[in-house]
Amino acid sequence: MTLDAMTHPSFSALLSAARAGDADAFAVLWREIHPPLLRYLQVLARDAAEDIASETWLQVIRGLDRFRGDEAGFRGWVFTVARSKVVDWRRYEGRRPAQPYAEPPVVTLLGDVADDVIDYLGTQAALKLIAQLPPDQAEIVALRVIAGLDVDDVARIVGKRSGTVRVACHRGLRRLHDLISVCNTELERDVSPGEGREFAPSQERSSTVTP
Amino acid sequence: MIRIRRVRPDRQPSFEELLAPSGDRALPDDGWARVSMILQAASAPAHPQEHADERLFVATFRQEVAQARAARRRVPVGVRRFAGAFGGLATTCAALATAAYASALPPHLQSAAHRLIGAPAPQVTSSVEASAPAPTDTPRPSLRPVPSTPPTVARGLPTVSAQGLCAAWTAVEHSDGPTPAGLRTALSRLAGDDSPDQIRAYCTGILGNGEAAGNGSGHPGSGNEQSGGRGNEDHATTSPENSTESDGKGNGSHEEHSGNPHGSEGDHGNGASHGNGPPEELPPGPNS
Repeated sequence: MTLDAMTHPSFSALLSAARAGDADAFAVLWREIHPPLLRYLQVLARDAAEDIASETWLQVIRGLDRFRGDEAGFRGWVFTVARSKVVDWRRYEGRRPAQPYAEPPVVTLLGDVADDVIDYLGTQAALKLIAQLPPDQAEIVALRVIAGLDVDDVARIVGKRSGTVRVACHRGLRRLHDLISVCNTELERDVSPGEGREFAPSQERSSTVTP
Repeated sequence: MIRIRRVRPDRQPSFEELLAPSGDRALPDDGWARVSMILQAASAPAHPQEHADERLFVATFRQEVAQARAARRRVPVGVRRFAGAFGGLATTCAALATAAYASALPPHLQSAAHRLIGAPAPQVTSSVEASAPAPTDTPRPSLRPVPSTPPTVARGLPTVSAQGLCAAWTAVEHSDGPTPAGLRTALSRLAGDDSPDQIRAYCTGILGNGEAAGNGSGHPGSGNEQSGGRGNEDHATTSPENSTESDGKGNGSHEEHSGNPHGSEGDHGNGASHGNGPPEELPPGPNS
């Protein structure tokens, strides 16, 4: 994820134009930041991601005049707003009595887990894998990988020290590695040598990743 | 028996190595290569579905900008502050004026309001009255206005007492001249009836009491100059305030002036008999 589109024209010019009410300038900013924002929210809030993204952008639009900083600062500010919205959403979910709802669809990964993620499910499956990490690690990995923020920005957003963020990211990646290894091991155990890797989607011999 | 083979890499690649393109990275094992692929999938360029709501967000942006501009355009802050201050000042002035016309301000403010906007002058406080000892035989004139309308007098005739009116009525009857319309109206109000007989009966009662207690003569005004008749003169010419005060002045029974019209007039007459005049000058009354 690069900010090239935000640098042609310069970010400051885009921001000034958006402050002045230029919808095209705002659209450029939105196109650059919304996809990673949505993915970050899908890791943290899953089904509520789009609602929280809407609230986040509404607050960003209203606070656009007050923002001072460069493009990295702008990106960090947007993700900070999103994180506060996620915190509010979690509080609300915690207060709300549990309601029965339909089970989320099970994501079926066939064959090599990583290949399946890349080939069949792509980004969404990757996000769901990351969401299986412990919450703090998942958030930090998402901010580092998806939002493209450096350690200091992530530390500022999550309110931790840079060293803590580095360690959490390191552990998260290792856990992700272990998770994939476990899945592959189960597959290797379940799949008989004669069957190879020819799996039909209806077969039960598949690892599952629940969102 | 389930055997899980966990492959622990000897070296964990750095974050930058995992995100590097596949040609630039040298990962220790396949597991880290898969992690790298997952991370690259998570940070892949935006899919078209992720831009699907662009129009909605841009429309929201336009709406918010329009609302913000409208809010800015409404009224400048300075004008709003000036209007608020002016409104507060006007409210304060109105309240002060109302209080001034109700004579509810402190004396110095009331006098200022009296000079500026013609509000009633401040009342003289009865500090003398308050600090004075209890009233003696001779009552002092009060500086404070006293409720001036005696219960015997109709509201439309605040300056004429019943006895004075009856004296005038009797004089007119004796002179056989035309009766003034105002006099008859006033007396008909007091007597409760418009007929001359009723008025005559009323006045007979009024003057009869006064004569019985006072001078004993049938004519009002005759022989009254020295004692109770003095009151008649005062009643006929002075204001109700004075009539009330003058009754007390003449007979020393200021506190006795209350009650019904007949009673008050009778009190007046009785009081006159016990007034300040020498006892030997008192005309003989029916009681004496």
